[in-house]
Amino acid sequence: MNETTERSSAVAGRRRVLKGLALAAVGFPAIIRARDAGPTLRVLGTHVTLHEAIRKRAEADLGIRIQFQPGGSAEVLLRAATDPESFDLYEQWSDSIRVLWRAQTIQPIDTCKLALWDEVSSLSKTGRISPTALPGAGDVPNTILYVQPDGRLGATPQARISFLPYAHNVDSFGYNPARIGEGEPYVDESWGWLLAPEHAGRVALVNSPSIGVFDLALAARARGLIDFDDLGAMRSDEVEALFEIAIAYKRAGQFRAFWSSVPHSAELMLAGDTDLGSMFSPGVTQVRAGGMPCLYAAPREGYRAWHGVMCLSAAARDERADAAYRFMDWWLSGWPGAYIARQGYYISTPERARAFLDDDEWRYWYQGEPAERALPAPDGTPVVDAGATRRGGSYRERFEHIAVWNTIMPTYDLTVRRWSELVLA
Amino acid sequence: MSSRRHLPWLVRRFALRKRLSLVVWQAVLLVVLLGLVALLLANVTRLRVNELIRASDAARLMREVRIEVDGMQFDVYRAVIAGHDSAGVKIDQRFARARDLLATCRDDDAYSGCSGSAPDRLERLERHLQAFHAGYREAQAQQHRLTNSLHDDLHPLVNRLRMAFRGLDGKAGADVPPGIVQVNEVRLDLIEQQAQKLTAVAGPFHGTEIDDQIDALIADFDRLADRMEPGARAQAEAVLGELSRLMREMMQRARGYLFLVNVVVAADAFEMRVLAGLVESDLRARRDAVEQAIQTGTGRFVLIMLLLVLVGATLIYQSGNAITASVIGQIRRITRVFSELAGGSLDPVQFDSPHRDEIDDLVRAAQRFRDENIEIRDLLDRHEALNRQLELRVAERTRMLEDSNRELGRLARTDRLTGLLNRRALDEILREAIEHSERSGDALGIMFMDLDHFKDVNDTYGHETGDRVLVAVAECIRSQLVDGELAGRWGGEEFVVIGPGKDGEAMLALAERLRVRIQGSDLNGAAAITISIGVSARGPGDTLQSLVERADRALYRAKHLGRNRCESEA
Repeated sequence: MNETTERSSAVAGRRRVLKGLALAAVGFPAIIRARDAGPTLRVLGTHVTLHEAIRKRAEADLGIRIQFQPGGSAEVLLRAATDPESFDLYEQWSDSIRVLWRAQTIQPIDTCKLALWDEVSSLSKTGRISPTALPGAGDVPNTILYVQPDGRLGATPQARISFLPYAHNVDSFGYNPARIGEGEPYVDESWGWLLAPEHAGRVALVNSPSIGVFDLALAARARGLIDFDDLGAMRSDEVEALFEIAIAYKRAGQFRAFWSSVPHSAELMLAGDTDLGSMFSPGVTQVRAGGMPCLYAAPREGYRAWHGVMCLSAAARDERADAAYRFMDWWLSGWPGAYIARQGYYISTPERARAFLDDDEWRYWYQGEPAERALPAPDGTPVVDAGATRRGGSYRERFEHIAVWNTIMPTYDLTVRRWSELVLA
Repeated sequence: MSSRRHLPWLVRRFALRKRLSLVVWQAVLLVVLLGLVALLLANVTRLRVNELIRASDAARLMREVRIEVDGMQFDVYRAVIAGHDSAGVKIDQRFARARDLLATCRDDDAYSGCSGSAPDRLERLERHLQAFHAGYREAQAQQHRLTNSLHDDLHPLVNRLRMAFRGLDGKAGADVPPGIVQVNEVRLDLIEQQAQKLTAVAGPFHGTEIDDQIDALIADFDRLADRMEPGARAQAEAVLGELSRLMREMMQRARGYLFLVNVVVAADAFEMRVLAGLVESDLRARRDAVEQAIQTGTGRFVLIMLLLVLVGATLIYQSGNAITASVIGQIRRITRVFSELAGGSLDPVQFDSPHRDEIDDLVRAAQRFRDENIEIRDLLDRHEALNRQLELRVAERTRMLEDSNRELGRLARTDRLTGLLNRRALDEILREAIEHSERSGDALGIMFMDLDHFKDVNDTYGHETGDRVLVAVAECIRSQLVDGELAGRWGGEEFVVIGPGKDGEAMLALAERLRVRIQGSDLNGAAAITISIGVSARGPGDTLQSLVERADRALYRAKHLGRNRCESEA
């Protein structure tokens, strides 16, 4: 399913949402490679980070062979949760950690073996980018980072961690300021816009229950329709209540679409079908590249944050594990961080990345200052106009405004069931 | 030719017959033009109607697509959630049908409406349809693998664990809570039930419950494991580990297909519904637009026809008028020419006829008419001249006759010898003079003269001399008379003079003058001639006779008293 779009998105190097398991049918070969010339590091993950440029650079820097196995989110999660033999490293989002940890297909990572662990930022280690920042709801990265003595995951720092924190960013919704008046970041811009009657029929939602539910919850809460004891751990009754609200809105025609891929989200806006909707930053970039103004909102309720996780397969041993550790250290070493910075993502060792960025790039991407020139994407094409400022401000300011971290809540299976009712209502 | 410049263009350009047929041709041309325009507009309308039909057909197709999509979504639920195997066949049928409908819509010219309206949307529709079907297929495959795992892997594992746990029954020691084996049996049943739920047919599952059951099972097993034989324990641990792994794998697999059905496929279905709806409403909008266009077109058609008729009729009317005017103008002029000709005009026919047409015939006729006129006028003139000649001659004759008559009259009252009044005339004149004198009261005197001894003259000298003497005396008398005094020969050698307005005295003086004159003249060489005169004047109560008698008596007395003397008797 959608091989074309998957591939095109791979070329574009853009993050994709969970996209089903279409490739799973052919995606489960027992990958047992001949090991004549040392181990080949097999990295399972998504198109967001599994870029050919990164692979080549890593191979060159590390002197090892690396194989990237990109796939749809659900597909790679299923593989990671059931077939640890098929990969050495797994790159995905923090919301998959609980599943993997329970499935015991990943092993703890020894921070002592990571040369740059000390340089990993406080955001990843404490969940706060600054002492004054409020931690968001849901699985704050540090709460699922440390392997506690009882084998569970917790916030108390330990030497062993469940994943290496690396790429991260905040998501919100994008909107067309030509159709909707431009709001002031953190003041006017609100998740509540998704359910605003004046935008009825022109709203898109991400077609993913695990994160779409937060967009809906933030929107409903912003409009005072519902409240949650804990936004990041909704109870069944809260989920049901939220869906009752969402379904009522859907039936009234509030939502134009539930997008399943970044290009789809951009396409909807470019076709003029939608004026706003939950989006990922590459989608916003695509809309702008299509010649339509699009702002990536800084909602006053805060962002929905996500954190990339790099996990070590439970089956990785010896030289494979060594190669995996070297690869992880390489990811913290600066070049990859600079690479993804140019895509708008942050790295857990920002100072290392800074060394690989021009000063003006650093000031734009991390410090929220106006671009002094047209700034390039990793492939060199300009993606930022001169004079543009990153909406929401600096890295710190943005991560000081986190409403919730992407989380697979215990009510996830219920959410999935209700999701189709919402979509088809 | 330059003289023709003043002629109206139409006249210059077209002969009469052509001008008349021009009007007819214009009318025919207008009718043909109207026909052509009507045909053209009818054709445009027909094309529009075809487009309307295409748009309607395409909209119907899209509606059918929507129906198939809804049906497919329903059938996916039946197939995956309710486990209706028959639904799978229907999905494939509906998929094929929807795909064919879209292909028809895209490729078939008869439905060019769809692709024309939103090719991008149609393309996206097809993409989502493929995605939908692929998603369903994948979900079904996952579900099948899950069901197979359930039967082939899970049940044997659970049974082996069940046997292992049963082997522990009764061996429970003080450290083992009583009934824990039974609890674990129940747990295994629950795990089996949960596993059943993973196929969805048995109802919804909760991942957390499965995790909890497995965790609890492992915890309990750890408490029981010490009582097992080391070999059996290792075996049971392996089975438990495998069961735990299998359950989690099955759970992920279940999440996978449920995700496909609830999220991926559902969103594709929704997107298709929206897209088909959008295409359909696009088509409907276009159909409405075309319908509107047809309506406007029809209105415009009527308007154009009306305008054409109006403009055409006006043009024909105008040109017809011009042509008629040109014809009437010519006819009027020729009529004027003819009426002038009829009035006898001889002026040359001034009529410029540039064509050999009927007007020209009339002009020729006018020329002939004029020629005739000229001929007639000549005849008349000659006739008149003759008349005048005749009249002159008649007048002359009349005058001659009058002259003759007058001469005759004069001759009748004149003495043939002397040319004096004769007796008849004297009688008449005397009577008239007396009547006049009586009426007017004017005087009237007369005298009677008689030659003395005239018998002697005659006898001596002959009658011829006598006559000469008479003539000479008459001549002498006449020469002495003045206006109004008349002289006549009474007879023989007697003369009478009448003096109107003269009384006796005046008459006597005259008589004396005459007597003297005659006496003194040499009237006859031979012998002197004298004359005796008797005078009378009218007195009251005189008649002709009395007057004459008195004059005669006076004469007699003169005679008697010696002749050559004058005597009067008042």
